[in-house]
Amino acid sequence: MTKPAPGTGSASNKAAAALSIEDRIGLYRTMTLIREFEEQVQRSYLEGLVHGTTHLCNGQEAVCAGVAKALREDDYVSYTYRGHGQCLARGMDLEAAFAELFGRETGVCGGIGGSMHLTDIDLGLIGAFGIVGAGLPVAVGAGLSAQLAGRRQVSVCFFGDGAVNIGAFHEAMNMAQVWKLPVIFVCENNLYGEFSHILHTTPYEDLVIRAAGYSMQSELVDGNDVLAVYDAAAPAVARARDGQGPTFIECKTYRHRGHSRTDPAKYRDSAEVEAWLKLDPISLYRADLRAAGLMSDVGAEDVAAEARSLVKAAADRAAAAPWPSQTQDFMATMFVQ
Amino acid sequence: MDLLVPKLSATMETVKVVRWLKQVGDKVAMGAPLVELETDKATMEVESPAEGTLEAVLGAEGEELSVGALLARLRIAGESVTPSEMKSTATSVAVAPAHGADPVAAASRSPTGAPGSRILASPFAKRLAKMNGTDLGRLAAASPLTRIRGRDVIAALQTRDAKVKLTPSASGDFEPFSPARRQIAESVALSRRTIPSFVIDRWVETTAIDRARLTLGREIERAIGIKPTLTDFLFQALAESFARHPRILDRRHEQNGHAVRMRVSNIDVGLVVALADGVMIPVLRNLADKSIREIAQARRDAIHRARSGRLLQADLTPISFSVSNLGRSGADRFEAIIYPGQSGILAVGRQHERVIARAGGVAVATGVNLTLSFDHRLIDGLQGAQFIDTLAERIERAVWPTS
Amino acid sequence: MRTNEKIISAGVEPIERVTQEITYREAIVAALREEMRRDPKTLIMGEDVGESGGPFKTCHGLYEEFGAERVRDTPIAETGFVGAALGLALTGYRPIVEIMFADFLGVCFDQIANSIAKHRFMSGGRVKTPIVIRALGGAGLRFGAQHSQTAESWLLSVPGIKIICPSDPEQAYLMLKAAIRDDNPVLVLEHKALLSMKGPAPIGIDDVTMPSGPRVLRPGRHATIVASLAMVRKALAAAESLNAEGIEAEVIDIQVLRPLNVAPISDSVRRTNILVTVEEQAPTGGWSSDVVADVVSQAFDYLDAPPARITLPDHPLPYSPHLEDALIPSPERIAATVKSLL
Repeated sequence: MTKPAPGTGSASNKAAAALSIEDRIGLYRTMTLIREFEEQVQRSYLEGLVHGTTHLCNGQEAVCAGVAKALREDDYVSYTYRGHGQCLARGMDLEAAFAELFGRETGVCGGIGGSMHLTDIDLGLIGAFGIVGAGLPVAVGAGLSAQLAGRRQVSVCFFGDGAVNIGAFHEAMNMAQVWKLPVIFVCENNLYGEFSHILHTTPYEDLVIRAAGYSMQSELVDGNDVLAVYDAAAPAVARARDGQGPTFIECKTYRHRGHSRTDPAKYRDSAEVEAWLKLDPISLYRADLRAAGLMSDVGAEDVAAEARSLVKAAADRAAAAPWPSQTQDFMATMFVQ
Repeated sequence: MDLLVPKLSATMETVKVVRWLKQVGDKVAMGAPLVELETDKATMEVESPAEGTLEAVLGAEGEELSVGALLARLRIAGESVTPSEMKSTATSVAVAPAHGADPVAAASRSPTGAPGSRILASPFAKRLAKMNGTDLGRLAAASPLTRIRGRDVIAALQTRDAKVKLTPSASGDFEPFSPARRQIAESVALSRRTIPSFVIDRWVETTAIDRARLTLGREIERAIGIKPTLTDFLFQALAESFARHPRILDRRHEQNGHAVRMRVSNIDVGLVVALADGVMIPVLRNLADKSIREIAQARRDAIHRARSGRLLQADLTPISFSVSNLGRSGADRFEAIIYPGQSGILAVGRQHERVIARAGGVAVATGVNLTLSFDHRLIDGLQGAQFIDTLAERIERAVWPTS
Repeated sequence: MRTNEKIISAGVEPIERVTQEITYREAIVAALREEMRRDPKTLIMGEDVGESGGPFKTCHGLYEEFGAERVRDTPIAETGFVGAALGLALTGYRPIVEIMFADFLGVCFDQIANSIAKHRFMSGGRVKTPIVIRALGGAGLRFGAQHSQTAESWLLSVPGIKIICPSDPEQAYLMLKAAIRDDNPVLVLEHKALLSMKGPAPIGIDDVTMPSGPRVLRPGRHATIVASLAMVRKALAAAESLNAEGIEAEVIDIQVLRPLNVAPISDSVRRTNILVTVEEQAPTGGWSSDVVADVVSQAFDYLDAPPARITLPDHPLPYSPHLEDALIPSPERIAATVKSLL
């Protein structure tokens, strides 16, 4: 594991220090909710309720929660097929999310998108992209839109380490920097692009180096430390709102599970997995909160139990929802008539 | 010139060829009726747009054709250039006219001539030959290795001297069904075959309506010269009942092979109008907003349209419900058959006096039998009963304005 | 030619509509300018579309009127700016992007086929993606194999994006305006060889709608010729020469490749019984394959000869004028094909 090191950006201004107790506990709630959601997705998959494939983000919750905390309601967020966490961190309705995964009529996209394409434009969740790197140029477009509209919005784009080797990444980074767009590129470096270790596909592990090629501000943070993520995101977002252009944030993190539901991730060294599991972002943060006297173990368990029951109830309701109509007007779904 | 199947209503996609009124080779005047076409609701004649000769017909009697399809070819008087003459080939001029041959029989035989030899003919030529009773074998014999084209068949038809009647005329004790009768036969058979209907009935007192006809009715008659009938008041009572039970107007709609329930918001009701031979169902539109006076006017217009055979496009678009009134013809009560595509029909019997129990005593009152038939796939008995209850309530208890 | 026509509608000031003889290029510029004036949410992106007015001058004068923000030069990065168009559209803008050569659609195929064409659908119809992608294609300018393709068929098998092909100044003007107002993604394939073609266009007209299918440019009763883009003019020339021989060919401009509406072509074939298609593409997988298949399904009984497809050969186009000219379908070839079927 690479030790988190500061990037080229301004030294962290410790924005997290200004967070209230409620905010801090809120971050814990968000991460726990995402974890419980993904665990339920796993169970639902085994029960045959989730179809095809699904990509879980267990282990990467701190990135979703920490960045989301730095955003406003009218900001734009784009993400990938591993995007459940980003959606929940923005407040996507749990039942609508489950129903979408289950392919039901009440899904957030009417059961037409599926696990890889959770989208809710009303929450600024402009899209989940199933093609690696495809979302980055779109996020640049949303950033351009924000710049033109002049309302100090930002566009945040989540992607994995695998995306930094595709052309769209470079085109998007370049355009964002040339036009000084309010775009935050958040790279979730979980060390594996599908089944391949990063060093099999990329000449170095610290992807923050790529930002230098575009003269872009960058930060390298411990993606399993939710406050560190927030500390990097908050000033980047503030700079973007002030018209000072984009930032690239590399978050070092780890996928607890395989690439997708069919991947047992046998290609990973068990010692490596063990080490990373000890760095579980939720456990680490719980210890922080306990040490600071903000939350007891009992309190933490209460948060988890509440999340579990919310998630279970939402999944049960979604499972009882009707299938979408087979005779619906798909042409109207495809085209504004 | 080409005659195409005209679009007779906004929704129609096909027509059925009922009868050719002119045969191939006939000279036709401009405006002369050429063919009878039938939509699902009306039969119409297509007139010749010009003076000329009928060169070929493309639709067999009883065949469905889509809108825009070629219906017939007409050679306009004075016109000489047709594809066949433009580039006439040995095939088309060498053909011997089919003297003495039974063209119908020839057409119904296999188009192949000698066993084992396939006749080379375009799809268009085959169709023309079949429609017009041309023996492709004779054409093929002239030039077996050249594909027979449509123009070759047309050329052969032009040289055929005898006019051929495709339809044997009626004779003896048999009389062919009129197109209207055949259409009714098909509709009612389809209804019986496909609509699982049930019937609900009730005798309703019409004293309130009779009273209104004496007052309001006379005013309307003075104003517009139309005397409102019992049916007009029933239409209004129906419209108000539909407003309270909108699901009664739902229709079954077939979509990609699936049946779906189609919600209908307009209160449009058909009126079954008896004609000399058959019936027609013109439509009274948007009854929800209409006064008795407007309904009387609309009813008279509808009957006029039906009797004069001039249905509007609007009369051909689908509706959910119709009314049939045989009261004046003497029926006490009867069940009407639901028109295919609709969901229900109200049959109205003769107005008559009846002894009824009232307030613990016996009274004599005037009323009618209302018999409602519903498509059970859409409407259940309970809904049907609730509907007739509302309708009866409205008829018996309503107070109509005097002006 | 210049005709003025007063259009008077009740209670409204008379509007002066001017039918002018302009070039295909001027028609594109006029449509862009008028729609940019009409809706401040429209903006243009592309390579050298700004101060230099576009490599083919199809954005001439727009930078001067609307400024660098709304007429934006991009890096040479089709994936980047076509993808950005989707981000703009999702957040309230109506981007128009120019692909300098239609051949470069290959560079951003993923953004168009997988993102733009599917984003609304995958959202369950809950987002709108009003995007216009203009691409200049076509042969005859001696640009060689990588800069001469019309790309008409490239996206034909991808539902979710409309594809239109204007073949004269009037359609270039009207269809582009309709495309910009459309709330859906529209790929406008323009033809480089038509840019200086002159023709009447109703400049200033505000009432535009996207055509629902092909248009009959010349009626005829003996054969139906269906063509697209630069081939339309060749088909009209063929029809003219056939007319001298007493053969009346009906010429149809297919003009909307997606959604493909073959019914009017079948209607025509029911009258003429002969079908010939002309497209400036290799034969395999062209739109004419679909047209022929649908006509055979819809009007089989009316065909008097096997339908004929006139296309480019099944290899890339060569550079030499001597070779290129020989391979692009000519009026003579079209006329000869029609005659062979009668």
